[in-house]
Amino acid sequence: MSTNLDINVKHLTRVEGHGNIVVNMKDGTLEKAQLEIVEAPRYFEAMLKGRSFHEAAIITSRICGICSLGHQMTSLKATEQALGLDVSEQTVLLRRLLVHGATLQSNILHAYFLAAPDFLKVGSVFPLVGSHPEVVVRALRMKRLANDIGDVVSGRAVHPITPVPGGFTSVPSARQLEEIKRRLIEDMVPDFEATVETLKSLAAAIPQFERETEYISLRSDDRYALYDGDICSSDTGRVDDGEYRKMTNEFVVPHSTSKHCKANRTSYFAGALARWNNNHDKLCDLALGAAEELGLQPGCTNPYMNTIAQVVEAAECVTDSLAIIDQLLGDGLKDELPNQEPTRYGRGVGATEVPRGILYHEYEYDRAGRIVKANCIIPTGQNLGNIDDDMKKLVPEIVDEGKDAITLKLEMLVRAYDPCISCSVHMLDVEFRD
Amino acid sequence: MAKPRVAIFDFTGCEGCELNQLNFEDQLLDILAHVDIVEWREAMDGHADEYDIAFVEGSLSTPDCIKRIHEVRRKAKVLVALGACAVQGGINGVKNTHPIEEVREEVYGEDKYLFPTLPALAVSSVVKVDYNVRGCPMTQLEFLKVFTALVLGKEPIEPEHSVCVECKLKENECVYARGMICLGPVTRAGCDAHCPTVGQYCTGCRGLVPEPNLKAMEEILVEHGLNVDEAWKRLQLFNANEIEGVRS
Amino acid sequence: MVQFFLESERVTELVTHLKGQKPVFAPHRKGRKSFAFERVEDAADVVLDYPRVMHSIRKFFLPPRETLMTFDLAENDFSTADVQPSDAIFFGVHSYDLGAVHRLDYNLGKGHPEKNYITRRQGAVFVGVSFEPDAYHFCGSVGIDPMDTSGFDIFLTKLLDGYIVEALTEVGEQLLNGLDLPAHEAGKPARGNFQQHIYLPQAKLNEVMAKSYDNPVWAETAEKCVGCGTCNLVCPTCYCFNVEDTVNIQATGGTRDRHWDGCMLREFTGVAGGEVFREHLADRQRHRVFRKFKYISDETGQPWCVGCGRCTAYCTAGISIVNIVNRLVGDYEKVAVTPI
Repeated sequence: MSTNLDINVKHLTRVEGHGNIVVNMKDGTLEKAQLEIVEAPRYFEAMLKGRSFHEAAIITSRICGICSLGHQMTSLKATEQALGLDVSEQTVLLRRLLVHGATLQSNILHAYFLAAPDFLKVGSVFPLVGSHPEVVVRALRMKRLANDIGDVVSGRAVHPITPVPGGFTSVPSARQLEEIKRRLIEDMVPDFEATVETLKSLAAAIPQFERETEYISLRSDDRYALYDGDICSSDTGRVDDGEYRKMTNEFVVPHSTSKHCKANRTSYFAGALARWNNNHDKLCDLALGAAEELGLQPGCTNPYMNTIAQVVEAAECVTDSLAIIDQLLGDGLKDELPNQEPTRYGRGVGATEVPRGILYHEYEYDRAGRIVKANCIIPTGQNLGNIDDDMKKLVPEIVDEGKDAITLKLEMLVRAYDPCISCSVHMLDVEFRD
Repeated sequence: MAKPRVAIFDFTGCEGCELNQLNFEDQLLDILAHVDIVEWREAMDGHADEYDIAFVEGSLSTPDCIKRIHEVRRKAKVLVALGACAVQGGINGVKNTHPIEEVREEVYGEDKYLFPTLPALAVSSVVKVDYNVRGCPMTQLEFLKVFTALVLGKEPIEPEHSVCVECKLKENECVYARGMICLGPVTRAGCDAHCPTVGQYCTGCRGLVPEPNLKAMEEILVEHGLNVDEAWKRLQLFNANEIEGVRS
Repeated sequence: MVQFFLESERVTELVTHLKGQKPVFAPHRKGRKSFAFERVEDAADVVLDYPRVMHSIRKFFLPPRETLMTFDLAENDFSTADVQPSDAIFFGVHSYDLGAVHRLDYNLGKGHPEKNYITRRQGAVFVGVSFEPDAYHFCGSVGIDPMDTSGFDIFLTKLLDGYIVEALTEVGEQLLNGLDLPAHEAGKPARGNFQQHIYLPQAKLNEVMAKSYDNPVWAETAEKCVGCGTCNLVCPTCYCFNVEDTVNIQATGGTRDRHWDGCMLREFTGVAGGEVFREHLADRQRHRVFRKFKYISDETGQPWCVGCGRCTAYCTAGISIVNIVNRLVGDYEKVAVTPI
């Protein structure tokens, strides 16, 4: 039995962005177990300085291709709060629909394309095209529909176009929404049920590992919180989203170009599992049924189950999208002009649940509507400390399984968080190699 | 005919262009039928020693990027730049418009000298790029055109005319007529004027037309309500590197 | 010809009456402040009081984009597109736009006749409407009156509370059959004044243009111009196009398509080998203006500009073709009266 272990996974695959897994164990003592973030820094906060409020969301959506809609929504909310731009009820409904589309898209992409290959012990989704064609075709169909929500409502799913400060540059037609509704009912719901069946047959491949931690998500009295809500900690309860700095406390670690975060412990969990643990009482029956089928319990402390929580909440996105479309069609779509006349200037904060957790943007605007200061705190950055803490507990527990098995479980652990590393490296460039 | 061996690489960027490739739900299986994808970190494990076509996303902004792009170029018969970051530096180039000392200070304060950084560069400013797929994110339509041309062994045609042409072909109401500004007049077409079609102004993501008359464009923007500084900021959003060359 | 009176409220009734006989295309609101010719679904959507549409009815005969043929690479076969006569009513057309169609008939009918255009032109019925000249119209200077009825089958002349309706051809008369309209006796109203004028008629412009090749106005205009090509694309007498082949992703076949092109675009003058004949914007500006007032005009004696004002109204840089032509006239006259 080896008590020396040296694992170094460079440029981990099937995650968004560049990260390395580094584990060192010497004579039975764990010296290092961490996810090193080596993504090139992009200096978004510096880039935003001096830019017009018209451009803030255009720029920040480019922080990340996968999360572009989330960045855009959060950016718009921060700008609107800072400049006193009120938006209509229709705008909020359309934005909530967009968040559902993006969450659905991202969660499905993660489950089928990035996580499933591990469950089936293959290197990517491509071999599945030959071995499990019906599953791949189903995944593509689900993703297509989720993307179509983005295309129809925001002009384009990646780097959306029509959402602007104060509203939308154009709104979808009733006919387009009716078509989305039809496909959600006829295609998405059965495909979702089939997805649950497929995952159920693979559930044995999900590693058993428990570590209790702090779970932080948004929470709303009205619904399963995604577009907005208060910040809610499983340890200390709810605070206003304007207080986000108290709940994130960004700090620098030498092994990551992305800052880490903490609230009441050394680290916390953000993302689908946190949302599930904090807000499962707000889920629809379709989601709760899926959770039961897949063995996801309230108070779950297995981080590998995050993938399952993502699938479960996808059902909520489907159900609520249908409700939103019905309300939009019932009210009749109005060709409203975006409200772009600032009524004040200063500071504004936006917080949104994006697929990987809570995303925060804070801007300070000057009198001319230009950004003086910007701060963005990204979910993956919030999770990095929790991933390191998971690894420190996990490695000693599985040290007897051999290097390959350990490496796979560590890779699966990181992928379970669905990390978005491009997002998280929005600011810092820290040299860590010796 | 052996299938071309294709590899996909990402540098400094948001990976939205790669995601766009995963978003070809309708064509993905047709694309896969034509090629062997031998390396693509975002979607699969595995590495390859040589490839017929390398698609490169992102701009080059660290010493490591420069090292890696030379390696990609050595191993690739054809190199295609994907998206605004790779083609012209893209939105990362906004960083270059601030004095680099100021950027580093903004981020690191007193520790600024600890951390080296490079201006964000277009791939073509370091190695030879054979073809471009422009846009932020890259235009899917153009990707398919370039991809099909390469698979057929044809030369892809890069449009040189402005977005206005495509906008007019669709008889869109002019964005200026809606009381907004627009960079369509000096931005390269190929996107089918997608943003103006859905009511948003063209932000210039596909790069400038060849030999753009930027002085005239500045006058248009000022005539329509921007001050000179703001006019150039808007022009720089995706084209900071090129504009820097024109203005200095 | 007998004239009828149509109350403004009854326009919808007239459109519905026509729509019962043939498809009708008419101006609709488009976007926030613009208008465009579209097929009438609901007669109430038709707008008769409009300054201009971005694209004239040219777009129905020479579409912005069209597929010329599809080809099959496996079978080494192709089939040309099935082009049908339009056989439709174009309702609410301004006189200059019909003038432009007549010019296109000349350009596309001679030499190698443009089959698709000629086919689509068949069965086209034109219902005109008079208009009040705005800040850009100058068709009066090129011989086209806002109330010019020539070439129309039916013409509507705007009055305060309605329209004078005249059937000008047999086809027009038949289309109005069954519509009960009172006769109009009072004669026609006075025409509105133009705000824009070209100072000389075409007969004189021929001489002016002949001396204008090296005029500094081309370079001066080029300083303001971004070369976006809008002026070409909105011009109702422009007909240049480009042809491209596209192969499908399965590489089994594809289409040959054409789309409008324009001489203000640098690519347009590019040829095989990389040569560009009109490299500078100044050269391209001159070519554009000469295409409207010199090259074809020398041949036909007519201005090939119909004075719709589109190239100026849609130019974001504010370049005015009227100002360019008048500047050439002014420079010509200065030289002409300068004693030797």
